[in-house]
Amino acid sequence: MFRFISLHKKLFAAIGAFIALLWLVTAQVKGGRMSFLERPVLGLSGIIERSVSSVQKAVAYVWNGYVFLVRTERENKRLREEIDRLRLEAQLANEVLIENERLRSALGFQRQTPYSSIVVQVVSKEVSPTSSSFIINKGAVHGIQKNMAVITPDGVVGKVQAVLDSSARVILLTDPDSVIAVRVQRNREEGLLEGKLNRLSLKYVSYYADIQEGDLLVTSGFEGIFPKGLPVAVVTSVEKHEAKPFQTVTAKPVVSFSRVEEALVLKP
Amino acid sequence: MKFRIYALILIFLIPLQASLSSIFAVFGVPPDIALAVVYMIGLLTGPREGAIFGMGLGLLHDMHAGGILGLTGFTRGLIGLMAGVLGRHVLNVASMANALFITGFGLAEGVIIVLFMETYYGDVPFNNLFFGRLLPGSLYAGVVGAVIIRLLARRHLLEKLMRKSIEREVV
Repeated sequence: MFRFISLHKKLFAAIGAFIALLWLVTAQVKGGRMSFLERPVLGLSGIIERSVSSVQKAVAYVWNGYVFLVRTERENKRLREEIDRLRLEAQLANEVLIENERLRSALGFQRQTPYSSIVVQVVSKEVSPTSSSFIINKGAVHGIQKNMAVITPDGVVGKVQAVLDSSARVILLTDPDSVIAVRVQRNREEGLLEGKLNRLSLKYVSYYADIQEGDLLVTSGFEGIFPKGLPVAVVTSVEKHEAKPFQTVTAKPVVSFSRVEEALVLKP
Repeated sequence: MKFRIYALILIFLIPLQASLSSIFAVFGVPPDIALAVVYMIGLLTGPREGAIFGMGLGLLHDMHAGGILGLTGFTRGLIGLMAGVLGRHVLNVASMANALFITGFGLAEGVIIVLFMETYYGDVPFNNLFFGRLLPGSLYAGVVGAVIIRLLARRHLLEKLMRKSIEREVV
């Protein structure tokens, strides 16, 4: 028996490893995701990713700043930043207008707590069938903490999932572990938006709620991570079944994740 | 020497793939180089080594992406194993048919993962994922992998590696 095992030890090692992995996966079905050895792996890969990102940026800087038109590039960059800022302000102002209209007669309305933000750069993007995440170039030493909101001028990106000293991992809205409290901007209907890998699903929307394709979903601010009124997603389909108490609502994020290069991490 | 090469691949491949994915993405779909590498190593070194390498790389991928730990490790291990079995039964390792096999393995892996996710989280949009992410991603990985294998074959590197690995198994 022992001779047989020692003769085929590599085979047994492989079979044992497969069984161990299956056990690991099923353990997470019951107890939630594990983060075994996450810090050393993220730390090491963070060094490589930041180095690659620096080289990429240096090449892009030389090409765009010197080889290409110097002034045009600078002006373009300034204008793009200005547009991004104005778009964010317009979105927030729009939300405030709707809110004001609805609460015009109410007294003692509290203003939203102002958020300060940290500008971060995306150094790598990981889109696998089981998760969707970004690695950003700032971490605990820059004031980033777990569960902080990550946004762009277009809207919500996700939240910080793991933090190291000088990098952090952000899980995107589409990640299956992402759940965010939202409301329909048009009529204030509420729901929970869950990540479904390639799209989003709005949960717990009553059969009688008025939800339409094209409706903009904004953060409701209930979970205390995202400020109220940030654009999150646009409703793409609505299905109602008489036998079900809730509607099946799908949505797509307003942010195009493949194009995100910089983002803001909001500090409460 | 081979152990060092494996260590280098394990350390650098996942972060490099994640960093450079946006540069090489076509219509927002990045190539899955790791899948192609696991297939190649399985094909050249045999089922046992392919399986163990695939598991290692998949586990690192899970840790890096924050996904379900071990799921990609399991599927990549299976790919390494299957590619190893395939490598023992083909005559022309550098054949462009590798593109088809890599695509097929990528799709099979994706389907296993999506079915698992359906059980785990429920309500996973299968069609949307299959046609929007899995199929283009696997096709892209297939083409990239086949091209890499073709380039390596020009220097007779593949034959040398494969011969060495078979010799070791015979001994």
